[in-house]
Amino acid sequence: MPKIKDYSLYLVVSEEYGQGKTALEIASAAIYGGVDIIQMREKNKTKQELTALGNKLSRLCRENNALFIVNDDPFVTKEVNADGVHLGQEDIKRFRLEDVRSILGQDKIIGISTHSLEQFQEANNKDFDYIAFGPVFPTQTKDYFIGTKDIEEVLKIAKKPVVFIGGINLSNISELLSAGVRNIALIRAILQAKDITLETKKFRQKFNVKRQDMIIKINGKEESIDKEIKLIDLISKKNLCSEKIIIEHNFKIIDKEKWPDIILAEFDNLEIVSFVGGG
Amino acid sequence: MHDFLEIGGKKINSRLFIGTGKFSSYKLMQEAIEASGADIVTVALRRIDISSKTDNILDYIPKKCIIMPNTSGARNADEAVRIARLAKASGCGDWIKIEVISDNKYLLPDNLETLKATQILVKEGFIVLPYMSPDLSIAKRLADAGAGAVMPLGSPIGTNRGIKTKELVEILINEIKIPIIIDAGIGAPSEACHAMELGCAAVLINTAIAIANEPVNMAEAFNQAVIAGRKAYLSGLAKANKIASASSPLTGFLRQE
Repeated sequence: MPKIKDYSLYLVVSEEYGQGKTALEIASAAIYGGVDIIQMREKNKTKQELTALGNKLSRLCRENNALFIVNDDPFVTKEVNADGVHLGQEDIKRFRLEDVRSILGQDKIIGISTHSLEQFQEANNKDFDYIAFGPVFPTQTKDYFIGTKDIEEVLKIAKKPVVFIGGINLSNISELLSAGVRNIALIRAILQAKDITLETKKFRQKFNVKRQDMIIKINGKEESIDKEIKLIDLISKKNLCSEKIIIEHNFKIIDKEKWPDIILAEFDNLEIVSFVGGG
Repeated sequence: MHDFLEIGGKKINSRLFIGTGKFSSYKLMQEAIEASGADIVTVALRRIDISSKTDNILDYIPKKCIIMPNTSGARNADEAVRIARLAKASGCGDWIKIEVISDNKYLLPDNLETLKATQILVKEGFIVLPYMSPDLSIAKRLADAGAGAVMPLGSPIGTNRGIKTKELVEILINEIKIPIIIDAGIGAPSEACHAMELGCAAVLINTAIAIANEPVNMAEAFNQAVIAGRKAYLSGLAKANKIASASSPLTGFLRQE
């Protein structure tokens, strides 16, 4: 099942802000620069045009391991086999969440926009797979912004991934990352850049510098652990009984004496096994 | 005369091998192993559940026992080799039971992949005991590859149906020089005894003991059955006849004049 991974860069693609570039051009340049999630938000297109574009974006994203989200419309989402739908506060007045879920099924992502702590709390208790929260900074897309004061509370109570949105740029992103923000959504900052790929890469880099952790795979499951931690320290942090376990690091068995020498890196693969009853 | 089973240069007293799956607790498993007198004990290798704390199964296996990890979960030779190497890295010896299964319904072994894994692991210094379907040519190749024994199934794993493969197993016993060990399917001590009478070198029992109401007593029963069957085999079983032959003398009847 697709899901929002930590440290996702989420791009909302809308040709009206694209200064003449097509949605497909924007999306492919951004994915090349390191965007993880593409949302198609085209308010001025007919359903037919949306389906045609959606099919193309859906294929582009799938081929490049990016997630593809369709704005507003669960039917188009299903038709173009997107990974999920993003709903606004207005949409959930039109559709019941249960209906959207039954149209799309358990395997699809349903996201929601929230614009206040109250809306966030409400969405947090419902069957959404992620919650967008903002605008956290002034933005031309909306005529108001809610600021950063609630971020701490939002992150504390969040039961699902939170994507922060609204007026985020290369100078204010650090404030968010220091507060512990893990996912951000961008619109103009990317769409109006001269070189979309380069601009995306700059955001990606900010993520990497600020991060105190990294993602590695332990027994087939992705997990966030301290950056550059030693294997032996990970074992003691996880309270694993070293007598009992056998470790394979990137498909190579590591003898116990070598555990202190191994420094883990992002996307490393660990298998930790032990004996159990068997015939 | 002391009757040893010899595999991989090791002299083994007990011809009952024990599997450790399906016991309701490690404590009970430990008592059952002790009651069985087994010297060879199999275990499996699995990913640990990082969030939950479980005891180390090895702490519950008597120190005198040889640990024989299996490669269960392997669907081909490469996976079996990977599991075997991980098991060896635990430091508990170089015995390995190769089990390569790609059939989920009957859990029948893949003889060809089993042979490939055996060839690789023997070269790496493992003492290899492959679980296999009783096929003469594969058994010969396994022996040629340097397997320590071959372990044909009696009937599918966990079925407790006894030695349905008897005729094929008897061919292996007659034709193959290395020990033949029945692995899987034996449900009752009488069946274990029968396997030993046929000339099997040992039997490997798991389910029949682990899920008995009294696993410790059942382990003891299997031990006695295996000893009895082995003694009978060594003593030479009398030939079966169609026509009766009296056990008492045929002379000196009272009715005689």
